[in-house]
Amino acid sequence: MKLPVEVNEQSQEPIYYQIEEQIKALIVSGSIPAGTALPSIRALAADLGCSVITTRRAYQNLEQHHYIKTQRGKGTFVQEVDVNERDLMKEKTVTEALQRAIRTANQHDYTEEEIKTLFERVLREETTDA
Amino acid sequence: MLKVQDVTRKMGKEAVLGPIDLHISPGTITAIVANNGAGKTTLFQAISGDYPGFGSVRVDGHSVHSIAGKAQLSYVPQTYPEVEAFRLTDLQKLHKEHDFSWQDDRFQAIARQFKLPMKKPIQKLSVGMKQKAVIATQLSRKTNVKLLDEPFAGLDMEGQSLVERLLLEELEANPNATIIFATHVADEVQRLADYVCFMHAGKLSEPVEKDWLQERWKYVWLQEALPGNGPSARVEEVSVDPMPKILTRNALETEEWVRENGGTVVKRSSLRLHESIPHILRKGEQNDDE
Repeated sequence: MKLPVEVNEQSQEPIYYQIEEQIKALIVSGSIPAGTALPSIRALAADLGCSVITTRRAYQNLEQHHYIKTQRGKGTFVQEVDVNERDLMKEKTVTEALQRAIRTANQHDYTEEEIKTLFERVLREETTDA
Repeated sequence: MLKVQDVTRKMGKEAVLGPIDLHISPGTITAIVANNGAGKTTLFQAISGDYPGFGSVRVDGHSVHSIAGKAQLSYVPQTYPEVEAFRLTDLQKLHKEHDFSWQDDRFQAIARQFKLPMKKPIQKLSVGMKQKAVIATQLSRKTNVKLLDEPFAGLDMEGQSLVERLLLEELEANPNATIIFATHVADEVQRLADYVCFMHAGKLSEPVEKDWLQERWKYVWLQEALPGNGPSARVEEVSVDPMPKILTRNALETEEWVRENGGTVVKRSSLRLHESIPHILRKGEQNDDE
């Protein structure tokens, strides 16, 4: 199985963290349901061009937070996610996206008012498109 | 597991290899990169036991010169005059009868995938086919340590992918397997390696995590150039056209220095290995990072 995960070279975040967060998002959103077998750390590393040290670290962190479980000799499987946590994660993902947008606006010297106006305009456009 | 201690050899008339110390854990792939003439092939010969001399090489705790050590080591050298006179069927028979690490079904499967001519003398084969023949033979042995000197050089693309897949299969199937390969191609390091060792003038660096290189070696663009040169802060190169840009070998430290000096980072981008590796090779081992 090939996971839709990629490493962003422009990110300041460590590679293991990027992988961890993307897999977490796939699990929480239900894109990869509970029981799904994940690629081995070696297969994922080969797929992403990173090292097994990195993929192992990402899997270990995910396992520690009960998103996945490794069964010796069988492989690594997605665990059931708590509904409340799913909601929290969704909110966290969207919040982070908004934070990034605001930071970009700040970099371009937008005022709070300008950001709000722009946000409402984009929101209207996106809603009409959909 | 491979343990190299204090290995020293002569390279040509004056240059010296080593002393080399290297400790490689099971389940990992290590790439050894070097410029021409740095001593890579001498190192591989020394590790394989082909070039005896000072120091010790242990494979799973056994000397590389012992039968138990050799039984755990697959070695693909760059040249292999000793097998040229044989046909693959001869080699197959030889291994089948005398090599208890031999897996004949594995050999047959690999030989089929490579479409190897079994009955032609190896010396009559093309460069790429010879290479495939030797790789097929060595990867058919059930060994924990695979030592490969530029295994992909001379192979067609299909052959390269196949060798890559075979090596990955090896690691998936055997948790004690370890792969050490030499290469001049950054892309091979990118696709396969967990650790990289750099060779420079007969000396070998400690293994460096591949991803660590990508996290540290970056281009960092600034909004405005900072006055003065400041401390090095791991800065390799600075350019200002069309925008101030720093090439750093430790992005975290450099960015911290930029912030402390009132600068603003506009964008950053990791160097690809084919960009960072030549910098590292040019300067040799750098002991100042961690």
